[in-house]
Amino acid sequence: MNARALRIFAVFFKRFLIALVRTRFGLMGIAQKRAIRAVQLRLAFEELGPAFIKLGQLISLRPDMVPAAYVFEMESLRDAVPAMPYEAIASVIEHDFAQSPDELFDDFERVPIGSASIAQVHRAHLREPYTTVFGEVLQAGTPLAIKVVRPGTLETIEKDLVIVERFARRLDRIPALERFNIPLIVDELSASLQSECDLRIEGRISDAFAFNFRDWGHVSTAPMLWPYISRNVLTMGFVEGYHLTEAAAAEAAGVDARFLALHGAEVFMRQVLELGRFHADLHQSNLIMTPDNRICYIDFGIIGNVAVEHREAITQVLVATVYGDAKRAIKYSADLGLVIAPPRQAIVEQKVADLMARTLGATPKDIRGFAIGFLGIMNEERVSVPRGFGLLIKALVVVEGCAQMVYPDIDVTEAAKPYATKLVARQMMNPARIYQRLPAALDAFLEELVG
Amino acid sequence: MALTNDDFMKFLAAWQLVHETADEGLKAAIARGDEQSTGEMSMGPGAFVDGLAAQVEVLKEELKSELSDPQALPAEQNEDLTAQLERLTFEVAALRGQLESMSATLDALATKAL
Repeated sequence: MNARALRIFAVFFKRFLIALVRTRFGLMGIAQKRAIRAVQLRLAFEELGPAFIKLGQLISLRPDMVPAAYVFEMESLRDAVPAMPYEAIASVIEHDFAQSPDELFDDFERVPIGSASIAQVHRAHLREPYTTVFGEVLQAGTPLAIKVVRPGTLETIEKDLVIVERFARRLDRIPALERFNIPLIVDELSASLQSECDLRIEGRISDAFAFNFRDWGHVSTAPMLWPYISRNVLTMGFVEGYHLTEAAAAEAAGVDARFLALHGAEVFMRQVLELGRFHADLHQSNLIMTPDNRICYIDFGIIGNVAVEHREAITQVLVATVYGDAKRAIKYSADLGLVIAPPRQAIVEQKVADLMARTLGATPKDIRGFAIGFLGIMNEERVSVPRGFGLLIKALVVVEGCAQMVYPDIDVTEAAKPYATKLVARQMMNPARIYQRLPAALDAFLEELVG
Repeated sequence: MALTNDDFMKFLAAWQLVHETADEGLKAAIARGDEQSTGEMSMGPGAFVDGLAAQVEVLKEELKSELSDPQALPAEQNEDLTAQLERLTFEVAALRGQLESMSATLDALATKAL
């Protein structure tokens, strides 16, 4: 075992011992035990750096595989690390462009405005005018945000991945952990890290997002400046505005923060239900309310995908959920691979209906409580939750969290209703669907008419 | 019992009355739906139907204005063409962006090689 593997082992062992003591050597109830263990696991990830922080972020996207307590604890994973010195960042820019930051940009600031485990962000100004892919002309002097991958990050991650893969193979042999499919999570981690370390991919996704929302006047992204983008450097326009926690300041400046928070729910639904690709790393630093009354999405490092064949069922489940219709939600969940054994169907429906009444029927609605409760019911009933479904539930909770960060009383399900209803109506009026369902509908009609 | 001309006329009158009543009902539902505020649609089946009627009315008006434009291609076809053109324009522009990025990388490599 090399030094890094030893350190990883030591950190996990330390956190395991702390969890053991805090759970009174396992004597606490299962929910409390899980909550305590989840906190210790998150702290271990934070201690071990980028590959593990990423692993935690991936776990937070897999409510289908990991208990809800871990999924939601990983949301609070802090990815803030001390900044790297300017010289190290300058060497990355010089390596990719054969020019120093001061030759490429004006006023490149030595102190970063943000620093995370994979990259850090510096401010600068544009030296020459540039026309973006959308034809917008950015004049010389335009403020920029330059994201630079921290040198040595990829190498560290690759070394950690080798160790993590080894651990994963061993853990997979333990029968109790088999259902978590740890090697699969590690494979996803590897693919996700490779893609996150190539900032050109993030630039392309950001531009595609901007294109998809070109007709939505209240949505924007930071403009990409492609001549200054490489694998390790992403240069974009600096977005001035207010974070979600600064709603009062935003409103004082004339921004309709409440409208934008509600609009965010529709934007999210369109991403999931129509485009099939969504920003899966929504938190207050990645959303900016701009003075021209738009909500600007930045940092497309983690993206979720929804398969075309699942979109209709997801729409139906979502509509059933916002209208509190448990039976319909379960019916369409089956199309997403959520299989409930027939003898348990009625019981599960009743449990879900009770949960809906308790969480979504209350004022204010508690989507987070619904999500945790729903995943808990599925766990109790030993029903495996398909990936797309789990991700959707998780994302809905995040959207609610973002909206409520602006206004705690906001009800995103109310905002979601008109859009979701329209979408279902459009799906129902699809000629192909009518053609497909007509014979069954006629049968049912005749059955009803003639008995 | 034989069906007389009068019976047939009465049937048509009843049919027309049903339509008129339904039409008036729909108009009233649209008006009520227009006045609803966010969240009111879930106040019961009646409120839901009113809200839905108002939403459908908006789409109907859009469709009417599209159909009344004699210059326009069939709405769906026109929309498809415009969307395709926009997507293609974006893809070309995105390609231009990627070429700019590659060109910068190539320039850097050339500078280092010299």
